[in-house]
Amino acid sequence: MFLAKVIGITWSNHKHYSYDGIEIKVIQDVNPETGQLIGKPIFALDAVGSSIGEIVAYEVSFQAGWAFDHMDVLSDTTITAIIDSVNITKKDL
Amino acid sequence: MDFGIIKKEVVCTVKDPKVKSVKFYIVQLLNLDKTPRNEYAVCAENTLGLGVGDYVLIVKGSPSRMLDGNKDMPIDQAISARVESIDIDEKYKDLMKD
Repeated sequence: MFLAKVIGITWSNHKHYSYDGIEIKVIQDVNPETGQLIGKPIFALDAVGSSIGEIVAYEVSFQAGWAFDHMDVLSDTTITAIIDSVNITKKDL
Repeated sequence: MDFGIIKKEVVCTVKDPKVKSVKFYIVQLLNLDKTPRNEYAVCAENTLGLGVGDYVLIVKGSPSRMLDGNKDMPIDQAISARVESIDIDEKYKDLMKD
């Protein structure tokens, strides 16, 4: 799982049948210590109903499709949690 | 998932029987502001009915075998949706320039 920030929404009328009722968000990796965006923006299906500006956790690879009720979702990136806060002890830094 | 534009349709007559119903497209990957990246992908697509010039989302890796339900197709890149538009929050607009 990785930490990212939701930066946008994708509009699509014509989707794979397994995407019914699922939103596609644009997310970008975030540094948990500084809150700065890093890397490139990517697209992710939304399993939790996040909104723009929120920090989320996302899952990649085959298990990303398992976040939904039906198993056969064609997804390689899924938002699986909304992050409220991150605690990092000084020892780790 | 990645974002791209369909550049070419691929025609192939001899295929693995498991991908008989599938069409292939050559997709050029794009940045969020639709400027082209120098990366191409050959993607499979089954039921959407797309054409050259459509903006699409690409699924990479093993989930793409779910293209036609749980049927284990030998595919590793698939087109999952046609994109109408992308809304990026004003605060992050400068990211689109890449």
